[in-house]
Amino acid sequence: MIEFKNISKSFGSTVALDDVSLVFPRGKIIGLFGPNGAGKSTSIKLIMGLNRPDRGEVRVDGENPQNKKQDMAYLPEIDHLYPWMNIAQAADFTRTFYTDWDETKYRELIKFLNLQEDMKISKISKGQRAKTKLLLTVSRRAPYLLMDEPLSGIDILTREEIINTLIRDYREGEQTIIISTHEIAEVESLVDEVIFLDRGQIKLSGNAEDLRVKRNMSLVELMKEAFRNAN
Amino acid sequence: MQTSSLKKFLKLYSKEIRELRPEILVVLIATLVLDLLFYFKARQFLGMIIGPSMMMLGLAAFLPFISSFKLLGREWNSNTIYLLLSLPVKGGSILGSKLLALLTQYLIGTVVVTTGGITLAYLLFPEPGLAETLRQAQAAGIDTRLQTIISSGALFYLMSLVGMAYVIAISFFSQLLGKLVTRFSGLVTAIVFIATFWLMNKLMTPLWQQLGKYTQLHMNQSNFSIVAFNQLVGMNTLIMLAGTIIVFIAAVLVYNHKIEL
Amino acid sequence: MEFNTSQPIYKQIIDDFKKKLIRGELKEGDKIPSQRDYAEQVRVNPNTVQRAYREMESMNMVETLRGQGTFISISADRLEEIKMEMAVNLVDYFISEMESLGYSQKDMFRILKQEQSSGKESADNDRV
Repeated sequence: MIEFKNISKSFGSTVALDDVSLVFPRGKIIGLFGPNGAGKSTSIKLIMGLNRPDRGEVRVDGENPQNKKQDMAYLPEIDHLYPWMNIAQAADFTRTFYTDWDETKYRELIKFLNLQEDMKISKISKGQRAKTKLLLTVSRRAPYLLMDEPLSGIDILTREEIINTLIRDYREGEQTIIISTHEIAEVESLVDEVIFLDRGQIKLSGNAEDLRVKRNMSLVELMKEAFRNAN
Repeated sequence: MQTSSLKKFLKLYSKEIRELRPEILVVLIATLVLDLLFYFKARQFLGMIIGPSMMMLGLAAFLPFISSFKLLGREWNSNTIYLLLSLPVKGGSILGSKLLALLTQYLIGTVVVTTGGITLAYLLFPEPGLAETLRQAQAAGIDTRLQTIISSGALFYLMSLVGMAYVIAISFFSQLLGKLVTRFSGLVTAIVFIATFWLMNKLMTPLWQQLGKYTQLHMNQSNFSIVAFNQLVGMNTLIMLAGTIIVFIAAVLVYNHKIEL
Repeated sequence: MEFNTSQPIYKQIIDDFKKKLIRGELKEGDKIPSQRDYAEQVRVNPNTVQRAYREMESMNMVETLRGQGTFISISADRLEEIKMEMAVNLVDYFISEMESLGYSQKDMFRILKQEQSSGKESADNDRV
């Protein structure tokens, strides 16, 4: 379980998160939604320990995120892999650092995603890079999978592949996936829990199905309404 | 899947070496080309070789310092810092592997240039010249036994190695502090570098003064004492090692506790 | 299978199984896909599928046998109940929609009868 306790974070004069308290429950797929600049990326970076809060505490399973990196599989929005590596080298690099690497899953996934081991990171298309990032994170049996805009800039077919991969390999109850995206429609049927952020504050949160029952609206419609009311 | 701190460190180290591959190769190839050039062209006198060789040596010795900026700065420029910071590894391994790779670069570069130069000199100006030089040195009271030359040379080289580690540590520390500010990062790095250098020098000055007095005491002999020389070099090495460790630890602390994206 | 995302997905999954049962596409004792397989087929969160399967189990529609899978396990009475529920829901929906448009109960019956007989005619025509 991941907890944010009164988290505030600013970058210069920009407030990314404003006294946010929330819980990311264990074993669920959680959608972190909101417009650009809402604080989604910052939240994920705080969980990963790539940022430190100005005020408040982040706790992953009760501990400081800095000590939980071996339990995290991180898929950032930016291209963070070494450009001179090919997929085989990137995989070899990754498996050296984590005890939860699943070689069988890796072999299977690389075929499923239509990638080749000799593909050089700097030479492949954006969609293939997105799939490579997915390959390296999902080939691990990591308790936490943090995905920051995994679908942005990706063509529709590749998106389908990515979502299918996530569903195929998701270990419900054991694995917690946090997906931050502004493409809510794509992940409507994927998320258990949702958190809507806007300008550093929580606008709405809860169980996706319960919200549908209560409000008779899709998550997309819910977000539109939440933001219309804010303005 | 078994992982150990050592395996992780070695994996990081081999990645750093791969990043330094172009620089290492440049020195190797340049030395080879230069030496071959000299071998076939410059047969007049030894002096013609020594000049450029010294320059190559200077380059080989200085290059790792330059590379230290590339090794760390590039992680930010290519966004791979996101990968490094998300790994279950602390600053000690990250910076340590970079430092070791740069020292490897230093080792390879200097050894290659020196070996190439000596081989060249030996091939072009064989035995008589060498024997004559040794005789002259002996006459001047310098201990010319092979083992002494090697041990003193090795000690001196070790001092240079520690000296290189020292400037690399300061380079890392300054770069990391520079990364803590969003603007004028380069300027901050430069200022911190100079300031740290100056500060460490101030700290080490009293130690050097002690060393100076000690040397005065033992060098008041007509013969240049190899033992005194070794001790001088050895002490200086230890002083610089202490300084290196202090700055390196500071850099690691900044990486572990202050660096953010 | 496309889901209406304004409605809870797990309910739509259950409805889909209900319809298959009513149509006779699924019968007593038939094996339905495992939760994981079903989730992959319809591209839905496995947790949601789990919720649906659990509900269906508590609704006495299916039964899960350890190590073997999930099977349709529905009594004839229960099936009748479900058929009636489904029919009632559809009719209620029809009535409320028609009422909101201003049609009277008489109008509804008349139009129903009219459509029903014309439907039989075209079916007869198709046979010829």
